Order: sequence, then structure tokens, then C-alpha cells
Amino acid sequence: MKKEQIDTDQLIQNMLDEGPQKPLPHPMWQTSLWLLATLFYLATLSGYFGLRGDIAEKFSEPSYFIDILLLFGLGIFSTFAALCLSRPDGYQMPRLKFVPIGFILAWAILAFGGSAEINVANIFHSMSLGQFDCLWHILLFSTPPGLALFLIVRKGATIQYCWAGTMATLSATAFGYLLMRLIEQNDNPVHLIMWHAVPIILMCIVGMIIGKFALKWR
Amino acid sequence: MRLAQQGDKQAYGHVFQQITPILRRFVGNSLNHPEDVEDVVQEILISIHRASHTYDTDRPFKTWIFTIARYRLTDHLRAIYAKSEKGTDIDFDHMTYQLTSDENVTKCYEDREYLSKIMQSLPVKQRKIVNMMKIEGYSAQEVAQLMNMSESAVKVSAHRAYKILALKAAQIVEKEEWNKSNERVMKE
Repeated sequence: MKKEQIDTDQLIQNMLDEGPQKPLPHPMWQTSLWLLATLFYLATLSGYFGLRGDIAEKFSEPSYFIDILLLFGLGIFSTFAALCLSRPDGYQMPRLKFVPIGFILAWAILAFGGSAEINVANIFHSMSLGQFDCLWHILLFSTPPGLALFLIVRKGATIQYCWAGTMATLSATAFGYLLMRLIEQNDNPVHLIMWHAVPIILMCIVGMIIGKFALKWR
Repeated sequence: MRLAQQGDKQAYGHVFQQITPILRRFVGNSLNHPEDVEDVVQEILISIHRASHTYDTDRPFKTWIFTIARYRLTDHLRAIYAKSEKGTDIDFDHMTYQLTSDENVTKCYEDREYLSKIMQSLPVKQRKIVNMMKIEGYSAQEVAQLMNMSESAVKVSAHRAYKILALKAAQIVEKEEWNKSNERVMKE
């Protein structure tokens, strides 16, 4: 529908001729569908790469279990937030986008809080190792679900496009990180920060920028 | 809207007929010229039509349409500011925020930041009332209901707020003129 030099009544009549569009499914329903497809994709990849050898033993450790649980929660809530943000009114839940931040804080405190290994020397040492394979793996795990989520969000009419882009990226990368935790047998907190968490933060910034251009409702 | 989303075109038309005057009043609070108002109202109606699939009938309709309306209005104002920053000749008489009754101080300052700055000088309650009535487009009656006040109390409060705003604006204008005359004297 293009606006030309017509009066408002004529415009309304034109819009009536087109009729209303079919409503989008509920964000919860969209989240469930996306989640199912993502879990299937990640399960396939975990089958290909193989889970870490000590997975059964690790799941008996409460901290590891809660770590995984928080990442899963982060993924679900950020997906739901991204899909709510695809509505112009944010599904009228303005504070929802802050829930994933709560998850991130809880997870960061649990995963890295009080770790004596985190110091400047170790961080520089970890950087010098150049373990880019972790970064590529997270990218591989996150990109297809992330793209799918961006496409779903684009079907809406988002006016908080930066937030929507950030949430969509956060969601996909949270699941990527989660899969890395299930595959990679390395629990060194410095490694996890430098080669898992920091790349995810950078990806979220990129997602925010992409959101600004790709998701903006014009 | 529920019926409209099920394909009832008559109900859909009814929705537009009902919201158009509300939108006109909402936009009219921020823009002065009737052509501009009608233009933005049409933009908003098209946006509502294009986003009709994003509305969930379990959620309040008013919040949804006003979010879209505010977004489009901001877009319009942003475009005007962008043009003015580029130095394009803009007739600022077209725009007013209707914050003062006697003088349109925006003719002198033409700047939203300026308005928000003088708005800060108001007490919180008065600022909220002015914001609701002049920016968000609520009527005095609606504001009274939302703020749990009598309608006349809202009107009195708004009137006092306008007076304060006019006074602040006049002070700034006076200061500007004084600065200009000083500069002139210095040059001479």
C-alpha cells in the first residue's frame, strides 16, 4: 500500500480492499518451533562431533549442571524476547528484554565468579594460544539458527531493531556455547572467557548492528 | 480488531474509522499544519495496516496503535530535524509543540532538546501532565482518570505548567537578545 496524494477516506477504502493480514502465531509458539528445529540441528552436530568423554561424570557436578541449565534458560528467554520484539509494541512486555541479562549475570557469577585462575597473566597466555577453532565451532553452531531467527523476526514489524538483533544473536550463540560445553573437554575458565564468552559478546554487537539494518521496520 | 483479523472487512473498516480522529488529535498535538497532520495520520494508518498481523487480540489495542503512531511521528520529526541540520530551508512555523499558549517559543529555538530542557524545570507531576496532554495526546479527562485527579485539577495544573514554561522561555529569549546586543556593541 503506497501513500499517494489521496484523501484519508480513500486510503482507508484501499486498505479495506486489501484486507487485514493473517496474524502471526503467538511468540511462545514461534519460540517452541524455532527451539525444536535448533535442538534437532544441535543434536545432529553433537552426533557428528561426539560428546565429551566425561559427560556423565560432569552432569553429576551441580555447578556444571546449573551452568548448562542457565545457558538453556538464556537461550529460551532471549529467543522469546527477540520474537516479542518483532512486534511493534514488544508484545507489551517492555521489561522482558532484560530477563536474559539476569541469566547472563547469574551464569557469569556461577561459571567464573571466585575463580583464582582468572588473572592477567593467564588471559595473555590464553590469547597467545590462538584457539580459533572454538570461535569457528561456535559460529558454525550458531549461524544457521541465528539466520532462521532473524528471518522470523523480520516477518514482524520491529521498532526496537537493535534490541531484537542482539536478542536473536544472543539466543543463537547461547545454544552454540551450550553445545561447545557438551563437546569440548576443557573447563578452564580463562579459556572459556577468552575463546567462548568474549567472541559471543562480539557476535552480539555484530548482531545488534545487523539488526539495525536488517530488522528495522520501514 | 478480533473480527477484522478473522477477515471481516466491515469490522476492519470500522476500526480505521474509529481510530482516525484519535490519531488526528494525537498528531495534531505535535504538528500545526493540517496538511502535515493528515500526511502523518495517513502514514500511521498505512503502518497499522501493514502491521495488522503483529497485533495479538489478547493485548490492549490502544497501546499497540499508539506505539506505532509515536514511532511514525518520531520518524517524521526526525526527518525534519535531519533536513534542518543539513541547512535545508524549513518553515518551522509548521511545527509547534504547543507548550506555550501566547508565544510559540519553538519559532526561536526550534530544538527539541531545548524543549526537554525547559520541561525539566517543571515539577514531576506537572511535567507528566504536560507530557500526557501535549505529547501523548491524552485529553484532560483521560489524564484525570489515569492520575486519579479531578479534571479541573488537571486543567489548573496544566495551565500553571504552561505559565512556568512560558516564563522560562521568555527568560532564555531575553538572555539571547541581551547577548546579541552585547555582541553588536562590542563590534561597534
